[in-house]
Amino acid sequence: MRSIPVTAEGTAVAATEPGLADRATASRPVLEIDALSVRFSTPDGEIPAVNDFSLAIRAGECVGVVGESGAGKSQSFLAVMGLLASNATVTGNARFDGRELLGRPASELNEVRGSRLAMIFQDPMTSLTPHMKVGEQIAESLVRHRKMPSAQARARALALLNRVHVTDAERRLDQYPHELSGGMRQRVMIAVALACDPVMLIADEPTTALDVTIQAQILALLAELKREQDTAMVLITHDLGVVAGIADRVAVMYGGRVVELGTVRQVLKSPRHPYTQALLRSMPRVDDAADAPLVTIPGQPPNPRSLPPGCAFHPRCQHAQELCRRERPPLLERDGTWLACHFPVELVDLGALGALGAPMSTLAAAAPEMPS
Amino acid sequence: MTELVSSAEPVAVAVASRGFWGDAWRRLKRNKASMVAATVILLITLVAFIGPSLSPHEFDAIDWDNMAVGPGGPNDHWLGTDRLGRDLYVRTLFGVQISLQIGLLATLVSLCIGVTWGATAGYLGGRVDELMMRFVDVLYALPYIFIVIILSTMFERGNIYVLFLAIGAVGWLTMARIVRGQTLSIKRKEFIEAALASGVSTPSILMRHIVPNVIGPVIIYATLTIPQMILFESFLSFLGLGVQEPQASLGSLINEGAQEMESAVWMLLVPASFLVSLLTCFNFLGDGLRDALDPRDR
Repeated sequence: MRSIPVTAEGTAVAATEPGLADRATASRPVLEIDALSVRFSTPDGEIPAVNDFSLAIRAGECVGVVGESGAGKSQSFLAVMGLLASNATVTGNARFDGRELLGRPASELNEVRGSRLAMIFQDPMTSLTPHMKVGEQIAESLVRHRKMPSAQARARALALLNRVHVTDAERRLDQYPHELSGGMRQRVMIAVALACDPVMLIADEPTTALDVTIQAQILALLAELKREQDTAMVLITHDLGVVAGIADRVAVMYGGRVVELGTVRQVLKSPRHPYTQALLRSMPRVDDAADAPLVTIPGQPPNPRSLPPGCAFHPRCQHAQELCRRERPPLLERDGTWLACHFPVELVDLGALGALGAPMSTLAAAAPEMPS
Repeated sequence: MTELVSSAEPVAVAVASRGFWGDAWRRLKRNKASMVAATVILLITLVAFIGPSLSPHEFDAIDWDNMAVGPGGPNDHWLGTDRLGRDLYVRTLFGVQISLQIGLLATLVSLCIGVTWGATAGYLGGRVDELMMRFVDVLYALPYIFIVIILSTMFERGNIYVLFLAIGAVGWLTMARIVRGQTLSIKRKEFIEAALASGVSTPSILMRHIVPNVIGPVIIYATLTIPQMILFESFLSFLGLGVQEPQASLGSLINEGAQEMESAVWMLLVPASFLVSLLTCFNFLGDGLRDALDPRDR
C-alpha cells in the first residue's frame, strides 16, 4: 500500500522552505524559524543543543515536534520565546508575523508573549503561581496586554474558564491552583494562554504530566481550539499517539536536528528515517501477543556535548554504513517528506497509524462527555 | 480571527474578589494561638498609650516619700517605684510605647529596604547581583555600632527618629540576604517561566510573583527582628546613645532593674514581664502569619 501524495506544488515550494514542503497554500506562515541554533556555554565547554532548525507553521495548522529527551525540541521553542537561560547563545531567525523575535529585548518580546504568541507548559502542578487565585492569573495578561479594567478582565476570565470546559467556573475563579486537580490546572493554563486570543500556541508536552483519560480530554480541547479559532499550534511531545491524534505535520528531532519532516500520514504511516521507524516500532501495539518482548532502540540518546561524527544516529542504526559514520546527511526533500538520511528505508507501510488508533479512539470517546 | 469570548456582553460577576490579603486574614482568624497573641499585643499597646493617664503620677515626677517601694504598698504606686521614687507603672508603660515604636518602625524600614534589595539582586542576577551583594558585605564588615554613633552625632543625640533610621539602616542586611536566597530558589521555577511566557514585565514578576512567595520567611524573620530591634535599642540606650533620661524604654528600665535585682526585684520583673510577653506574642503571631500567608499548607 503506497499512499504518499507528492504534489508538484509541494515540491516546488519545498525547494526553498522546508516547512512548507507538503502544502502549497498561499497563506503566509505565522511563525517561520530559519536555521535556528542554540548552544549553551558551560564550564565544561560549549554544548550545542539545537542545530540548524527550520520550520514554518501556518494558521490553523498543528505541527508535532517529537524526539527523545535532549533532542532539542523544547529548547528550540524556548529560544523562540526568548526564555532560555542566560548562558545560551541563539543564532538564526525566527519571524513571527513577519517580525524577527530573536535577539530582541525582553520589553519588546513582552508585547508579543502572552498576547499573540502563547505557551503552555508541561507541568500544570508547578506552572501556576501558587499564591495567586486562578482568576487573577488569567486576568493578569488581559490587564497587561489589553489594558482591561479588572472587573471586565474577571468576567472574561470566567468566560475563558467556561471555554476550556472547567466545571463550576464561577467558584474556580476564587480558588488557588492547589485546590484544583491536575487536569483542571492544565485547563487553567490553557485559559491563561488563550486569554488574549493568540494567533499561535506553543504547547510543550501539555499532556505528559496527566493521566490518560485527562490527556485525551486536553487533546480534544486543543483540537477544538485549532478547529474553531484557526490557531497555529506547535505540539512538543515524545508521545507519537498524541501527534497522531491532532497534528497535521510532524517533525522528528534527533541530536538537536530535524531528521524527518512531513505530514502525519506520511511520517507515521511510512517512516523513511531509521530513527522514526525505530521509534514507531518501540511503541507497544494492542494486537501484539501478550508475551511479545517490548522493542527498544539499542543504545542511548546521544550526549549533545559529544555528538557522534557523521549522522548522529549511526551508532544506533541498523542500516549504518561507512558513509554515515563519516558524513552528516543533509535534510533533503524526498517524495514529499524531508529527510536527513543517506540510506532511507524503502517505503513500507508499518500500519503505524492503525496501531496509534488507540489514543485516538480514547480521544473520540472522551469528547462527548465533556460539558460544553 | 474570531474573538474567543465575546466581551461585548459582560457577564455579571456577583462574587467580589477578596484578594490575597483578605484570604490570609480569614486563615489567620482560624489560628487561636495567633489570635490570642495578636489580642495581647493590641491590649499591651492600648494600655501603653491610655494607661499612663489613669495614674496620678508623671513619668518623671519624684515621690520623695516612696523611694524604691514594692508593688501593692499603701500608696497609689500600683507597681511600685524605682530608686529615685518615680512611678514604675507609668514609666514602664512609657517604655513600652517607645520600645514598640522603635521595634515596629525600625523593622518596617529594614523590611522595605531588605526585601526590595534582596529580591532585585536575586532576580536580576549576574553583575547587578554581584555588585549589590558586595555592597551588603561591605556594610556587614563595618561595625554597625560605628554607623549608629556617626549617625547619632551627625544629628541630634537621642532624637528618636534618628534612632529608627540608624537601627533600620543596619537591620536590613540580613533581610536582604534571606530574600535573595529565597528569590534565587524560586526564580527558575516553572511558574516564573510561565509568567515570562505570558509577557509579564520584570517589576510585575518581582512584586506579584516573587515577593508574595518569599513573604513567609520574611514575616518570620520580621517577627524575630522586632524583639531584636527592641533589644538593640536598649543596648544603645545603655551606651547613652538611645533614649535619654528621664525618658525610658523597656531596655533602659531592665538595665536599671538589673542593678537592683537583689534588693528590689520588681524593678526588673515589671519591665521584663512586659518585654517577655511582647516577644512571645510576636513569635506566636509570626507563626500564625506564616501559615496564613502560605495557602499550600492548608
